[in-house]
Amino acid sequence: MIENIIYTLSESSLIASIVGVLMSALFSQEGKKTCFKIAQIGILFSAFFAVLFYNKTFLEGFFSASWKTTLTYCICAFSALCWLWLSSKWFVKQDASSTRFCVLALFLMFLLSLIIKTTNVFVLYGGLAFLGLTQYALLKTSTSSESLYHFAAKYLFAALVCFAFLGCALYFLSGNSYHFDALAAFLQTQSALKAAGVVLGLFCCILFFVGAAPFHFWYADAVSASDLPVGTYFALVPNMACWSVFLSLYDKVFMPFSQNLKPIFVVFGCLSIVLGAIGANATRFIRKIFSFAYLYQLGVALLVLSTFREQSAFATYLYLEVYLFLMIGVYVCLFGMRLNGAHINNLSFLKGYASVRPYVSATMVFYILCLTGLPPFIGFATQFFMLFNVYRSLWLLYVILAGFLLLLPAYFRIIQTIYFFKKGYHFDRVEFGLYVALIVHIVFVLLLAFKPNFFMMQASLF
Amino acid sequence: MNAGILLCLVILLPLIGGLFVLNAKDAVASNAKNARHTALLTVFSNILLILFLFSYFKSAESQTSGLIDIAFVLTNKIEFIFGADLFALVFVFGVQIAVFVGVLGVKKENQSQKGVLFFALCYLSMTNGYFFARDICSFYICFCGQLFPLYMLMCFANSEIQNTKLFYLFGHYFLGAALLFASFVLIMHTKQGDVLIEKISSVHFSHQKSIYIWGGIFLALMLRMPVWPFYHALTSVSVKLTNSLALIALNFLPLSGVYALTRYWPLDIPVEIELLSPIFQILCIVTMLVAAFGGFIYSNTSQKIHHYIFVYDLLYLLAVFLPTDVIKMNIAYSVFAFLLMGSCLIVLQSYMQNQSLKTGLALKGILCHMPKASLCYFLFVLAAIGLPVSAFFWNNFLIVSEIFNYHLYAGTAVIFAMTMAAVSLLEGAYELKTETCLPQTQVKIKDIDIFTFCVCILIMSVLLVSVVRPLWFVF
Repeated sequence: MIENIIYTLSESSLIASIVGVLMSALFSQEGKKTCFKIAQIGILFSAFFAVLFYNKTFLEGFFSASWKTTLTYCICAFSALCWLWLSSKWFVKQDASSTRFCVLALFLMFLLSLIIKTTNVFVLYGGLAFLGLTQYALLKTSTSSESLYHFAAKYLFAALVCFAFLGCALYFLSGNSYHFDALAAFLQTQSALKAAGVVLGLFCCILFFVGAAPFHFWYADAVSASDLPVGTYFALVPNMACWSVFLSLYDKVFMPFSQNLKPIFVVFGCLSIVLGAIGANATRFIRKIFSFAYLYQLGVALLVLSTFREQSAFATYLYLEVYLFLMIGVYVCLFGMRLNGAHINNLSFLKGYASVRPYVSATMVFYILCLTGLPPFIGFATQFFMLFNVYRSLWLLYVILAGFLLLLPAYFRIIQTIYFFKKGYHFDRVEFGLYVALIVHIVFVLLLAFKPNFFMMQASLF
Repeated sequence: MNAGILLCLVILLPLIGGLFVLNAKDAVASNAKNARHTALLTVFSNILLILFLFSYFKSAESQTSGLIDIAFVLTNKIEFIFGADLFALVFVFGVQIAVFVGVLGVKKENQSQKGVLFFALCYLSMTNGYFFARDICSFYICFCGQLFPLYMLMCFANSEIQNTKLFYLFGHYFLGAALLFASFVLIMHTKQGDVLIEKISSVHFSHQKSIYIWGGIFLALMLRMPVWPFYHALTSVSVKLTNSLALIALNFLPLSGVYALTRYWPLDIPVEIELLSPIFQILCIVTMLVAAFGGFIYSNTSQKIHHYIFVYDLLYLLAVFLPTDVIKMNIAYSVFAFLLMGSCLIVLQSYMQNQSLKTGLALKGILCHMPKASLCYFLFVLAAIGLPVSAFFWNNFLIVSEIFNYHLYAGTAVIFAMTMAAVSLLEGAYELKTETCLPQTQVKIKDIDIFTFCVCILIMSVLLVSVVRPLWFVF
């Protein structure tokens, strides 16, 4: 019993932080920064306890902990810390109340922690349902545009449809089949329709949260149309957790149905690649470009997973891990790019930015090059090792490369706007703290480039 | 000093120099040109290093079979290997001199050229890496790594180039990179590790795989040279550029494809790919003829030079297709002379263009007011049209004779295209020197400075003596 309580320290420190934030909002006069500090300390402690009890967990039938879940949670916690640090600057500048935001952030982290560790479909279902509702609440905190309310309602509706579908599918489960390990074996004894319903319900529901096509419609708007802190959350924090759950299901539930699922993986993967590449080229909003680029990356990962090889899951995990790590740098740059106090999202307002802020611009170009996967940058290494290890089908390789060629102009358009258009505006100064953050991040990226094994857990991919 | 380390230094020095260029103080008002001087010093140091590297090939035996190698173990599956033989060194040496001349040409620009110089040096570093790369991994990295610096160089040099044209051109290059990447993944997957490029042909692939691999490599290298109907992208981007360094980089990129094909293309490739070879030869000849006519039709002198360069790029590509290896070094010597002449012509031409823009006068007759530039320009034009004043003449003679030996009609078409290109170049030179001259006294047109003049004369001397012995300055 005591052991179980100790193992909940990671989650309970988040709950304690929520209480702390609420108390501080009620009794303290310090303001926004205190809430953020409490939230950050809470997440830090949570990550610390997660590492400390990396292979221990409470309620063992429902949750399980391993180095993989701990790593995923640490990545989420690191992203969340960066997100909160950047958001605190935004809230101070906007002079807006941060209590609700911080409470939601901590609660989201709590849910993500549960989702990452869960091995039970009903817990997963509940976790995802709460995650959907909390994300909806987070979206509603955005004040930047009227249309966002309509969009948030649409998002909620779509999420509810997904849950209803999954709920109906799970209704057919019985006995000890709720555990991931037993689920596949149980489904194999059931009728094809029932098995397809459960597997597809899980598959589509997770893909909805990951933001892969054809369930991607909400993701670009959530990232781009909302306030920058809210958009940053959707771009950085939940992706790795949801992807980790997806991979866990892939290993335990989807693998026995590989023959049936393969075409679905391929179709969704190709769709994500094509829509991602076309969408990135069609928009002028910089955050939207990156969110469509993320869609492309998801497509690549899905195509790689469609091979159902031993190392596919791990390779895509590393691929997205590095991708999201680079995205943190991109968002630090985006927080630095301001015009008359407002953060720039429209590419047209970035014209000639390099002539005024050369360092931020150069860093942005560096990250873009890493994200494109061009050699000799780090994105190339992960992309190459993923394709090298899981290569089986030649045409899939060509689809990925065709998508890459389609996506490239979108990235180059950002570079061109920043560097080669005449300066049109007087851009705001970039805070010193952001410069420091960029330097630290670049050092890590370079470390990753020169010593990839260090970050990639001595991956046997090499 | 260890030759391998020297080799690495040749690759890395431009990159290090580039970082210094970024930090150099350039003040337009006080005419401080520190960035340019740093770039010049960097490239000049590289030239000296390469001359030193030549000394490792002094003996007659090592000239044909010698190789300097250095390897870096990255992981247990990947090992970067860089190596140089005489063939590669001749190419690299020519490129360094071309870039040196290009940096000289940057002198007269109005604004700070840090961006141009930095990316030119990055490009040079990647190009050197490309020429020295011996394993497939480092080769692909350098092959693809050349493109982004080149793109930035183009944009820095002239941001008014139409996006569509630039995207079209670079889409073409990146398509090549993507195809090479696919082949690269297939090779690595089959071999489960890195492999030397010359050993690819000895790796056993299934029939279908080998078609994809060799087809990918072949197309990737071919796409470096936009043949008909894509060739227009290259020339139309070139025309918009007035920066000599950017022009040199852009116009000589196709030669990297020629280099790789000459060096690594095996004789025993799959029959299916071999069957495609005549089709590409026909495309090459058609493009050559179209480019030669294009140069003839345009009245703009710079257009004529770009078309001329393109015709010769295609000549080398045709030479690569010949089923013989005996003219390999002739191609290298010819390319070396071609790089020197072409870069000098481009620099002089862009200098004249800049003067014309500055003074608001037409280019016609501009050489009447620039005696030093006129002397250099005409010397290089005479060498470029194929008069026996440089190694260009003898080696091209051998290449063309081999083409004739292979196919009479192809040889005739090539001779015709070369003649057209030479005539259009002469016509352009005549236009620049024609005596319908400008109003003499009203505008003062500045001639090239004495340093540039001396460099041009020195290069001309190198070319002149190379008639007797192509690499007389090292052997």
